[in-house]
Amino acid sequence: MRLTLAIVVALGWSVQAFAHHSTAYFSKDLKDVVKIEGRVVRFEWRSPHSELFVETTGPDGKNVVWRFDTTPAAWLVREGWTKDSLHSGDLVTVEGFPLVGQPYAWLGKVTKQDGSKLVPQRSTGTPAGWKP
Amino acid sequence: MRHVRNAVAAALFVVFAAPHLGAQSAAASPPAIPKLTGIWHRKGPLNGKPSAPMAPTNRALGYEKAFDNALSPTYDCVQIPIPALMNDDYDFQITQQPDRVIIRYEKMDVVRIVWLEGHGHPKPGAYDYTIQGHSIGRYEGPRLVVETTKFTPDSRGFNSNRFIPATAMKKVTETYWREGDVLKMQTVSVDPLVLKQPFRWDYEYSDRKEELTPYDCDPEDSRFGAQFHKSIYPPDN
Repeated sequence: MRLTLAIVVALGWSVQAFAHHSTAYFSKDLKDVVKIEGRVVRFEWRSPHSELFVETTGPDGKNVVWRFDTTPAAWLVREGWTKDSLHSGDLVTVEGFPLVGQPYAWLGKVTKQDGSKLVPQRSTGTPAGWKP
Repeated sequence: MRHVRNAVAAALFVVFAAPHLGAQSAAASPPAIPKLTGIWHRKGPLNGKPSAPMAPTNRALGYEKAFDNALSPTYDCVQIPIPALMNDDYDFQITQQPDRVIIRYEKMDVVRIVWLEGHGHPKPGAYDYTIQGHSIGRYEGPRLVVETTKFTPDSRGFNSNRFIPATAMKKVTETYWREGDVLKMQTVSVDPLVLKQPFRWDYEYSDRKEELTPYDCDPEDSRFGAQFHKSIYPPDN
């Protein structure tokens, strides 16, 4: 049953590959996944990567702006995103796969203050085994 | 006597001239142009059959092995040439005009003009090489056939996921036709110094109602990630 479910999940959520704009430097280790709560500073609706900038408080108590890159706008549209999905000032919780040591990550999912979720397609930047 | 001559002339006309006039009348009607205008959504490999992999030459493989990812022009929003432009998961729009066909791509907002034969468009000069080359098209029955040459050399010559280079000798032949609401496309690329055999990329597309999404590449944003790539070369002193 579990194997069947795993196969169904894998087939239904295909991986988009774009080696020409590599995501190799983002960690694929699930123990490195970050979860940031903060306020949207900027949401760039573009390609090859749309970008989300979130301001939060770092472990040292100082403000830090995290940058999350994700798939192109043309692909996000297919997952229900629009250029107005996020606005400056929105309170969000963002999970991502970081470049370790940098406030820079590949986007996993965004949870908005109302509980709704924005999830891009799986891609080469998404670790195997991670579930949104 | 004159009546007989007139009758004979009329009879000869019917026998010899009329059929030709009929044929000319039929030939005067131009063949129907296939309706390819529309926005097309990437569906899958042509007839469900994936294209064969590329067969690069040893010098092309050597180039790819030596190529450092950070040098890719894609980071600077430089258009990717055909056929690599078609490999990626984006849609495009075809607009047919009497003397040209315009193809607009979601990928990198590329716009190509295919000049249709027989309309007197000037040929490119000896030095006129461009990223997307110079395209000449013609209709062959229900198909649009496009031949493109005069490409500038590019490290992303054939596939957006590899750095197999194309030289200025690359030639790409595209064929488009329609079966119902499905647009079918075949491409054949040749470039003798870098490909051991022609590279085919065949795909099919379904009708799409929504407008294309702008790509809107920003060079500074696009190149941001390249600084974190581990180079295949040792650092400079």
